[in-house]
Amino acid sequence: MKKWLIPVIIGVWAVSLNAGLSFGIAPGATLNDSVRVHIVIPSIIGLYVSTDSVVFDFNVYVSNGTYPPSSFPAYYDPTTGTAENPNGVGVRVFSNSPTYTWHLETWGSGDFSTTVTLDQLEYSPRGAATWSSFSTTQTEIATGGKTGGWANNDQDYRFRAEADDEPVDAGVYIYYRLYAN
Amino acid sequence: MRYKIILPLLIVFFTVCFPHKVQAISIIILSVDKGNSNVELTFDLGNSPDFPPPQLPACYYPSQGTQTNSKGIYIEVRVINIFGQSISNAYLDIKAYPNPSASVTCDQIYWTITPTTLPSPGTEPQPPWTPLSLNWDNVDIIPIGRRSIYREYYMDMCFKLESDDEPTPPSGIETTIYIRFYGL
Repeated sequence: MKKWLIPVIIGVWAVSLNAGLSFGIAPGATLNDSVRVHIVIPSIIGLYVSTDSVVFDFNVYVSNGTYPPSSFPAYYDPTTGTAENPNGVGVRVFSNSPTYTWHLETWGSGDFSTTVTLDQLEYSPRGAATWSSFSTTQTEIATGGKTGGWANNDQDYRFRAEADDEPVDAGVYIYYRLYAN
Repeated sequence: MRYKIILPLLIVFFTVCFPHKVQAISIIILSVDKGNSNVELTFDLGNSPDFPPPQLPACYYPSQGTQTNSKGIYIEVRVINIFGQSISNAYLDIKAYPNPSASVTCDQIYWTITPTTLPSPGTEPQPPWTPLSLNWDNVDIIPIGRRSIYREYYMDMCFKLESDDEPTPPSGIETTIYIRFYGL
């Protein structure tokens, strides 16, 4: 290296130190710096339930001649479902934990009327046709571990029409609860 | 910025005193986050209102960036030619090592030096977003002419959460991003 380079390098080095820089003569020098990256992913569960109303409008069934039925009880699908599930509600569960178990529960707010009761509304995992009646008691409908994204737990609804049902225009709330332990 | 004063003085000094001994040299300079020490990026998804995301994969900006770029890293490079250039190109490269964990890998951290937006949840990051790898990847190639060069890069970074990512220990997991600058 030429002698005259020494003061140049010393000068740049002094400035570099002051400014937190690294420097070198090219070609030959390779400058390196690094940044530490810290990642925190918490253990979490998530629940999504579609917010649209599910409607059983028996005017539709009267119009198409399926209500009143030839015999009771008779079962009817929703006339209006939700965006995610035309026959009920979209329910999605998220859990990223390989150690915790999640539990999904559902229940209803109460009867539609004195003659049309909550248990006439039934639910089933989408497409499974394994029907259960809603009640006001929290009932576990699914459980599991790590979902690997959002797991589909859509629920189909159907209404059981009975012979003593009187005219009604009323709604109930259906609740879903997710917890892990 | 003192070198802006010192270097020209040195050049003038040596040109006048040693005109027969001059030869072209290129001095390369690298600075990350304005030379701050202990530069660290944090992706703490617990601080994000969008976690868990509606769809996966989902990308997140750092919850804590560096002092000079809230979304990533700020890099400055300089090539100062004295009596001409001794290199044709300067190269800025990047890599990460090691993988943060068995399920979270380096290629889930993406960088871009082109201003862009985060990918929508449910979509894979597309160029200019580029995944980090364990091997050196080129960020920029700078042609060197007779004039000195100054470039600054606002390198934004995002973390891509995948469906199989498991919770980290509360203290988190780590990797290191390496940046190198050289000329040929």
